[in-house]
Amino acid sequence: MPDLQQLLTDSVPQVAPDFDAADIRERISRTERRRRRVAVGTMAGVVAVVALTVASLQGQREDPVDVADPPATETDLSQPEVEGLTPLSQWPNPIDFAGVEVAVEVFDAPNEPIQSRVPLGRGEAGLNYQPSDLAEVGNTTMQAFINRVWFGCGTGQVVRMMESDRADDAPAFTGPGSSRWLPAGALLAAVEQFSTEMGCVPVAPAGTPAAITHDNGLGHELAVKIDQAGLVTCCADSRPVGNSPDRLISLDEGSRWSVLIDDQVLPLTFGDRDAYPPALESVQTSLVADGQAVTSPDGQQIAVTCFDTTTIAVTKPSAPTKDRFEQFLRTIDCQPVIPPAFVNQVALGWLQDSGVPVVGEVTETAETVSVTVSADDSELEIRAGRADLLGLTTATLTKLAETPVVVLNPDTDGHGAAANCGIHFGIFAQDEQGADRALELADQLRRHPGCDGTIATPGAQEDSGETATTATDLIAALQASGRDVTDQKTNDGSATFKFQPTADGANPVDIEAGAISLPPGTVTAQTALVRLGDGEAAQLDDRSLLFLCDGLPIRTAGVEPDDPGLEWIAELPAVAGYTPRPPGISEPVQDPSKADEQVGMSIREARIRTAAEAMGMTLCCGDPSASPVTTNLGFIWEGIEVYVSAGWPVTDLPEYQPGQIIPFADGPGGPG
Amino acid sequence: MTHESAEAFCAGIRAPLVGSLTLFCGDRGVAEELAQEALMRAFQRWDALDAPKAWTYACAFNLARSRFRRVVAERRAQQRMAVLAGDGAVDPDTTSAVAIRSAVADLPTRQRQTIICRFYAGLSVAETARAMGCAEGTIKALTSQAIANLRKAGLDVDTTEEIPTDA
Repeated sequence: MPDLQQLLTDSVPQVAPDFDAADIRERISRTERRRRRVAVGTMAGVVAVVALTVASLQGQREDPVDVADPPATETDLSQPEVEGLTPLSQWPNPIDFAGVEVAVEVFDAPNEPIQSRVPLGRGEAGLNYQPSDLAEVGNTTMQAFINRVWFGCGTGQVVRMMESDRADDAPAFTGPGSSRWLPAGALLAAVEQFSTEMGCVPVAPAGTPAAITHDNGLGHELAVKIDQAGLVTCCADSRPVGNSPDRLISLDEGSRWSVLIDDQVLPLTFGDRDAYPPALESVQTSLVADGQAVTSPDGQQIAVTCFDTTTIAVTKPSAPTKDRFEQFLRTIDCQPVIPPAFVNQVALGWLQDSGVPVVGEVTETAETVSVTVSADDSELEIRAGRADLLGLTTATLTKLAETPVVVLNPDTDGHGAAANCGIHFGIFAQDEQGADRALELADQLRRHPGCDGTIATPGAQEDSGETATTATDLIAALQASGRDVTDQKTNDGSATFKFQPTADGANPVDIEAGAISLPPGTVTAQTALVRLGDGEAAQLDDRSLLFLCDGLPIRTAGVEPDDPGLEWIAELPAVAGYTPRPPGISEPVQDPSKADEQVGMSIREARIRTAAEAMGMTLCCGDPSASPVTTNLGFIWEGIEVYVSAGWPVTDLPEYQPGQIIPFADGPGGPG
Repeated sequence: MTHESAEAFCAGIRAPLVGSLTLFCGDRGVAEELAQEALMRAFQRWDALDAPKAWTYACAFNLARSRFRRVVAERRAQQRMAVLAGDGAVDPDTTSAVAIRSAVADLPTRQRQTIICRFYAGLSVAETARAMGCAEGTIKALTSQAIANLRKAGLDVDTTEEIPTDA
C-alpha cells in the first residue's frame, strides 16, 4: 500500500521555484520604498490612478530607486510612483474582486452624501448606503442597501468603489434570493486590497461624519455583521428595516424582523441583555450552532446572545427553523452564549438538578448569583456567572479557559474547585475536606446536559476544528447507499430511525443518533468493548451498543455477543463510510501528569491506566496516542520505560498464548 | 538568528512551501506568489521568530485563505508566468497525480492544511499545531479525519502514519 507522503510528493514534486532569497530581499526593498514615500506624504497610488488615466502621463514610469535613495521630495508629485504596481489603466474596468465586479472611479470630491465612517484594518473609509426599493415577497416586504465606499488614497482626489453594472434605480429584489446589492463588507475588503496594492493608507473623505455614535448601541454590531454577510433583511409586518444616520441598518429593540436564509424567511427579534421574550422566564439550555442557548420549556422560543450585548430570539423553533437559525448564527460568525439575563436562572437550575440543597439566601447581582449549599458534611459557597466577578485569581481563570474543571489553588483562591460550562462556577469550601466535595460538584455540573450536552468523546476537550457529522448526514449517507431508513423522527439535532440491513433474514435495527444524554457513570473504564465491523463499540449494561461515527454518537438496541444482530448493526457504519469507535468515558479520570486538571479519555486508556497504576507503574513518556481500536501509553515501571499497546490488531508481536509467561528483561513478565 | 540562516532557511523551505501551497490552492503560479509573500514577511521579522518554519507556513496558509489576496496573486502570477511560459515548469499530471490532488482539494480546509503540513511539508505534530494555531491533539484528530476522507475518496493510503505520535 503506498505511503501517503510519497503519494503527495508524487502528485506535486518538490521542485525549487525560480525565486530565491535575493528575490525576497528585493521584494522587501520595493515594499519599504513604497511605504517610505507614502509616509512622507508625497506620492500615492491615486496619483498614479489619476495620472495614468490622463494620456499625457501614460508611460511615465519611474525606474526603481534604491533603498538608500534620499527621501522623496515634492518634485515627486509630478513623477507618479507606480513601480511594483499594475497601472490602473491596464486593469480591466470594472475590476474583478473575488468574482465580484467593482467599479473604481476617481473624483475630486465626493458627489453624494456619505453617512458612515467605517474603520478598516489600516485606515478608514466613508460609506454611502441607500435603502433599495422595496420588494414584496408574499406578505413580506424586503429591502436591501446599495453600498458605495469612498476613500482618499494619499492625494486630494478620492476614490469611489461600488458594485458595477447596476443602474442606480435597479430594483434590489425580484424575489427571495434574487439579485441583491454587494454587501458593504465585500466592498470594504476590496478597499483594503486596493489600498494595499496602491501602497496607501485609505482615509475617509473630508466631511465624512465622525465615528458612528449610537443612542444605545443596540444592534449595531449585529447589523454590520448581517450587512457584511450579505444577508437580506426584511420585516414581517410590512414595515421595512429602515436606515438611520448613525447605523447601517436600524434594528429597533423588540421589533420583529427577518433575514432570508436559503430563500426562506427567518423571523427574529432582538434586544439588549435585559430584553428577552417573557415566555423564556423559565428556561432550559440547549446547544445551538456550537454554542449555548436557552429555550422555553414548551420549546417554542429560543434565545442566544451574540457579540456580547445582543440577544437574538427566534420563536417557534421547529426543526427547519432551528436549522436556519443555526445557519444564520454561523453566517454572521456568532458563537452564541446564554443571554446574560438568563445566566443566574440557568445556574440555579443546574444546581437544583445536581441535587445539592441550597441553604441560606440566594444573593444575585446583574451578572452573578451566590448561594450556599450543603454537601455531605460540608457547606460550600457557590458563585456563578461572569467569570471575572467570581473572586478567582487570574491564573485560575486562565486555566479554566482551557480546562472545564480545575481545583483551586488553596494559597490564592482558597479551597475548592471551579467549572466552566459557558457559565462559570466557583465552588468554595471551608477546608481541604470540603474541597473534595467541591471538586465532585464541579464534575457534576460539568456533566450537566446543558453544559456539554452529550457523551464525552476521547479528547473531547480539544476542538477538532471540523463540523462533526450530524444525524442528518448519517441518514443521507445510508439512503445514498440504497439502504432503507424508516420511522425517522428528528428532534433538536438528534434522530431515531430504523435501519434495514441487507443480510438474509435481517430485521430492522433501531438506531438513535445525535445528542444522546446518558446518566453520569454510564460509560466507565469497565464498560465492555465489542468489535463492530472495522472498529469497536461500547456495550452498555442494557446490552445496547454505543459508538461514534466521526464524532456522531449512535446508540442501537440491545444485542448479545453471538447475536447475528451484531453483524447487522455493523453494516450501518460500514455503509455510511465510518469506522465506529467507542465513546470516551463520561467520568473524568485524574491524570497524574497534568496536576490538578481533569481529562477525558477512552475506555481502553482508562482501563490500561487503572491496571498499570495498580502495578505501581507511573505514566510517562509523551502523550498517549490512539487509533479507533488501539491505545498506546508509556509508563515507568521500576525505573524502566514500558510501552503498552492495547487493542486490536496489535501487530509485530509474537503470538503468545493466554497465560504464557514471557521472558522480559531480567525476569518474567506478565501473561501475554 | 543570523542573516545567513535566513538565506539558508529560504533555500531549504522554498520548494516544499511552494509545493504545499500548490496542493492547498491548486495553482503553482499562485503558490509561488504566496510563498514569496510569506517569506518576505518572515524575513522582515526574522530575528523575532523562534519557530520560523511553523510561522512561515502559518503565514502562507493565511495568505492563501484570503480570496482577495489570491486574486491579486493570480494577476501578478499570470503576468509573470506569461514571461516564464515554456520555462520547464513541472507538470506531473499523471492520472494518479490528478486523483490525489483532487482528493486533497476536496478535504475540508483544516484537514487539507493538516495533511499537507504533516505529510508533504514534513512538519512535526508540534510544528503543525503551531502553524495552525491549535492543540497537538487537534492535529492528530484532523489527521485521522483527513486520512479517513482520503480513503473515502478512493485513495489507498498506508495506515502506519495514521496517528503520528511524535508530539
